[in-house]
Amino acid sequence: MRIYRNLSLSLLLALAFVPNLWAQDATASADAVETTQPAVEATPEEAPPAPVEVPVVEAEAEKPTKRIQPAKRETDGGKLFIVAYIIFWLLPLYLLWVTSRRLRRLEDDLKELRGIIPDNSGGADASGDEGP
Amino acid sequence: MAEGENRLCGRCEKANGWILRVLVAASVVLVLVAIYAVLARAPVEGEMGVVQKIFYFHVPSAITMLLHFMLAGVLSLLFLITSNRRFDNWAAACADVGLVFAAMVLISGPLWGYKAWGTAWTGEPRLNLTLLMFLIYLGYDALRRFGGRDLFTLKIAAAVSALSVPGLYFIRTAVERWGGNHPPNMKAGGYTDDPDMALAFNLSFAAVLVLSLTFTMLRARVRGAADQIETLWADAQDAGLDVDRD
Repeated sequence: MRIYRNLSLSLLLALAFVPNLWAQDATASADAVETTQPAVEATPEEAPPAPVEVPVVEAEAEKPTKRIQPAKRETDGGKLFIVAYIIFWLLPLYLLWVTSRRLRRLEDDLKELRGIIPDNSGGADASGDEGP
Repeated sequence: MAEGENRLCGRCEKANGWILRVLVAASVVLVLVAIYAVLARAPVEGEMGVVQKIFYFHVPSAITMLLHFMLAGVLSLLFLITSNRRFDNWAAACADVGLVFAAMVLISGPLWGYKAWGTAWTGEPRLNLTLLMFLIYLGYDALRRFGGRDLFTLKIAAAVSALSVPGLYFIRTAVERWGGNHPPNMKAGGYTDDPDMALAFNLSFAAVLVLSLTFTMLRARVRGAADQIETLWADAQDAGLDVDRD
């Protein structure tokens, strides 16, 4: 049960994180598209430049939707890397800790049971878990 | 099954405990060293950027997953032949660890692919087969958990595990056979000439491998202890002893 719970937790974590990152990236991409027009540096002394008339055909060619797709590739790799690393290293270490706790509890129970129930196996030196 | 079948001698138990402690310590040290090597030593790849560093644990996880599923299959086959429960316990432990690393591969792969290829899931044969293998072993584990402890159920589960082994071969050779965005398998001699990249990869591989061994040993011990408790409890019931199961 525990392993299912832990696996589902990790998957849920990934599902919770990743769409957020993607949503942020999509917004960032849209922002990036809007600001990709050549910016004119306005210094305080200069007057703002006169608006440039853009032909309609060219303006349509610059529709943001056409640029969002490649901009998706500009995902912040650092964030993905951090999410992957957190999931990757924390989950096994957590599972290791949980499993060792469970083992300790089981071994305590086993000792207790052996104390209560008389040992009638007769094969105390039969090797068991050290390997097949 | 007699309780003695799963019981360790005192010396074996002590040695087992020590091996486990050494493995846990080695895992923690290796994990920390590997993280340092990946973050501080390995250079940032020019084309993909920092996300390429997912490679340092994605690939070792995939190899570890294949190794553990293969071991689970072989041990299950041995269980089918000999009916020895120790083989079954170790097969189940290997399958558990294989599942954990398969989950890692299936989480880290799409994160990397989203950046590198522009999509999280390309649907290429290697990805689909890996997901299928994950689901097969999830089914194997569910069958063991909910199907009871009798030999018949355990043998059905073992047959599922043993029969899934050829699928591992297809995962390994999927890119060469059917193509896909994944690069071909690494050949002996490594994937890079950069010594820092190679060092980070080797350390990560060692960390993942030792971590998986520790985890397998722990799982096998948990399964062994649980089996002994079940057997003792059944013996107590047979003997008419009034023992509180909780």
